[in-house]
Amino acid sequence: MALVNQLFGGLLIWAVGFSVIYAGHGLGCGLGWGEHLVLGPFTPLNIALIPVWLAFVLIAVWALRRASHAGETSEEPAMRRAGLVGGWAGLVGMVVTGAPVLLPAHCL
Amino acid sequence: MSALKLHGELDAVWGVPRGWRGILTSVNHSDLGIRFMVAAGIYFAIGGVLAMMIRAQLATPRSAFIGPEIYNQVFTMHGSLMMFMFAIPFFEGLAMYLLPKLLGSRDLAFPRLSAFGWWCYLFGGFILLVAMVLGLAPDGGWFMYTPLASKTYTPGINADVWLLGITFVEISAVCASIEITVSVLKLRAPGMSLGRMPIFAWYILVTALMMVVGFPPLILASTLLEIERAFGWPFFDPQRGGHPLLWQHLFWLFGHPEVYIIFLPAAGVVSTVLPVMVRHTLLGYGWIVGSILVLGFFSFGLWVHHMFATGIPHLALALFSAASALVAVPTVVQLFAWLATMWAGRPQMRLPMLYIAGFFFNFLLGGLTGVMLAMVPFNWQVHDTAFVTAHLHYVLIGGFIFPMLAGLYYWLPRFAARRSHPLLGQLGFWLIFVGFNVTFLIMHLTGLLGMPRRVYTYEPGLGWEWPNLISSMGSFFMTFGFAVVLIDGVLAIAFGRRSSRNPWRAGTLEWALPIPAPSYNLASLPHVESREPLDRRHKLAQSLAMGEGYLGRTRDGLRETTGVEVVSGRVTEIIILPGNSWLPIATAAATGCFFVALLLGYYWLAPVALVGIAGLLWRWAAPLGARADLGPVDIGCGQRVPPHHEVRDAPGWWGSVFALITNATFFTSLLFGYAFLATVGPGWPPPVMAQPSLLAGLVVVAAVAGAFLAEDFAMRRALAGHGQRAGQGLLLALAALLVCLLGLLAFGWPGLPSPRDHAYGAIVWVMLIYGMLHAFIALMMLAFVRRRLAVGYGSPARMLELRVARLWLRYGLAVILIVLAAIALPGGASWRW
Repeated sequence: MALVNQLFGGLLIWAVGFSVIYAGHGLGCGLGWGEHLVLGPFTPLNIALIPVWLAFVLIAVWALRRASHAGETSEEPAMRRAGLVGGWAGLVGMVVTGAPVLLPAHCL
Repeated sequence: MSALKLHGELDAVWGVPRGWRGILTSVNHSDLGIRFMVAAGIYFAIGGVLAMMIRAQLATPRSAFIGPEIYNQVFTMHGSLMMFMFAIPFFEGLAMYLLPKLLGSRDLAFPRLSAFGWWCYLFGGFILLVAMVLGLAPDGGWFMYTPLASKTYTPGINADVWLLGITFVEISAVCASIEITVSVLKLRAPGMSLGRMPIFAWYILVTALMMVVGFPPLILASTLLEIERAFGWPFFDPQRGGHPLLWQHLFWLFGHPEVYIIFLPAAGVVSTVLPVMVRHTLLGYGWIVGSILVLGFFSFGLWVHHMFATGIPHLALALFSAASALVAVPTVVQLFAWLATMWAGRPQMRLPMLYIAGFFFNFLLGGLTGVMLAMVPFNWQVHDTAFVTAHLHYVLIGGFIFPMLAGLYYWLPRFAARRSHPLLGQLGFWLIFVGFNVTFLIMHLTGLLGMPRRVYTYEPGLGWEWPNLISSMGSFFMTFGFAVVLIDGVLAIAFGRRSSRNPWRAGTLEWALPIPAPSYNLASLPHVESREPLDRRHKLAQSLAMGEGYLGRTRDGLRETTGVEVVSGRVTEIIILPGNSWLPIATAAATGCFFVALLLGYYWLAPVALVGIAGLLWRWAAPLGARADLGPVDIGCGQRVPPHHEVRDAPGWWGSVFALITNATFFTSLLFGYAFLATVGPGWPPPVMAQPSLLAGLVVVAAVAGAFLAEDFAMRRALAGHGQRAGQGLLLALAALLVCLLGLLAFGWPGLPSPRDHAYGAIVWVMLIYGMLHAFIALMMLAFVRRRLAVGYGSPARMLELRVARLWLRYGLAVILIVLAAIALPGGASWRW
């Protein structure tokens, strides 16, 4: 189980985070949260999704740290490296694919 | 014991009868793998002929070669055959053939499931081919968009052929994915930890896992569209609350990962063949494993880039554009690992390496145009033009066909014990390479000039004449190339030089087998200490043939191989595999009857076929297990382990876990469809909401709790050795499930609205039926286990069957509760007693 966490942890967090943001955008647009600016260039949908995105970025950082520490005790260097690739991919994926929540005009 | 005597004994246990009986009953992975590859090759040839017809038609403007109706069938069948009948079955066949040999095992985990998958593939393919011969082939494009594929615009049987025929074939793919996943995780040689697995096994493992979760959305979409076409339930009809984009979401949830499902096994071939061709160990093994995992995940976050032109919100465009660009990174990591390996080694331009070089060139171009298509503004410009056709062929032919041809030439001595003629092979390569690029490179320009996909003709004067003519000429060159490869293969098999056991001096275990491979693969199984066991132990093949490894003898005529702990590769059990059987072909035939009955509109026959399938599955499970505890048995090399039905996580348990993951993905896709329609469907909220019965709902919840507790009691009693009390517990659980089934029926009828009037009614009825089906499956499994306990198939040590039944029961109970909540909780639902 530890190896599964190490290999998949970061990627699972990305998968959940990406799904939550996508579902949130669908729901928000359906409820009309993307139609009016309420805080500078931001709509209520921005204001709802940005904290969600940041939270998942932080969780991905935590998963990467865990993967790094778990890897130190790993008997197999190749699996340690694979776990680190997964952890970094989860973090970078979360930052890059979630960043569009910062953009205006979500629901056009 | 001499090697010859051991061979005789093992072949008597593992062999296949001669003649028709052997053909129809064989469950041997080598036989089935080769059958898959040969049949896929035949479908490739048929798809290629259809492609030639397309190019002949488009070679000149206003061509009268074929009319629009036939053209529509031709391009639809070309795409469908290449994707569903060639690419996936071909790599499944390669994986089935190679994996046990690479992993040091004697067969796959569920040999009868492999055979069942083969017969489903064969029968499903017949449905498509017969329809094509009769002029009734599907004609709505290989992705069958609604509303074009709905009853209004495709009133004939054509779309039904696709929906039912392809779904039938997908059963084969799902079976293969579970089979492969469990085999890689459990059926390895002792000592082969995850970090010592051949890289090809990693690629196939991730591919199989992607198939486990990738195919259910398409199976759901096909099921819903067929129900709409057959019974008028309006999932995709916007006039009754449905939405055509639901089809696109479900289709591309499968369709985009499908590209990577096809690419990854081919990349696995590159990672296996390239190091041998450059005489250097693969560099960056851990990086590559990580990249494969990343690709497996990221590929599920891209599906909406196929829908950029459908008017979806800007945020969705941006999210999926970013993800589509990002997915290039793990692909490039592999590319750099291959380049580094080449740099460190001494490349030899032999035929497999030539094809790998062709792969590098073509796939790089396909990848670059892929990144271009990930950018929304560019995507809008070239959407549905020939540019996209060119891109996808660079990815699929460049990324799949070229590596697979490299693999075929590399493993030809393994398949056929012969070597091919180098000059003929090189001629074939250059014809394919040049022909392919002449065909498709200029097609990018045709698309940029504005030529749409799938038009059967065009007017002169648009600037499309020359590019189309050049593409058509190139395609015929390419076809000659494939013909040369075929001739080369046939000549090699018939007259080629005999190959030695390990002609490439490779280090992986498949080259330790005798040539041709015996039915049991290895006379004894090795202890693996590195990724390339033959590199370090040059006498390993002879030692294994002498029976000096694990299981170097036969016991009671049983088919035995080793099972290992998933991560460490420590040997934990003897896995006893079933022998040749009529059950796979009989079950596939019954499944075929079900699909044909639906296709021809004989709906009364479908339940009869289902009863037949249920009976055969009962029969299927009956010969498994044992009536007495055996305990640890000597397996050689100083090790003693128990048989698989006396351990906790036997292959059957793992198989059920992955079958349930497939099942759960299907159900999650259904919930997604419900949420999608409720959010964006026209005509929502529906005019009539559900009025479920509160009493029936409470009875179902109580019955769910009762079934859960009764089964738990039965398990605890069985573990304590009280078989009779366990049987009583199971009887209580069965009664609770029966109440649950009746309660669900009362919950839905008459409280749910008609499924024909609005998509809401249709989707809640589908959910309810899904819940009832799982209550019925759990009921059947518990009834089976109870019967088995009564006749001695169970003890505190032998609990495998009850553990498997528990998985299905708990999944079914969870589904029922979710279905109740999904129907009853949304706003507007009003209760009645």
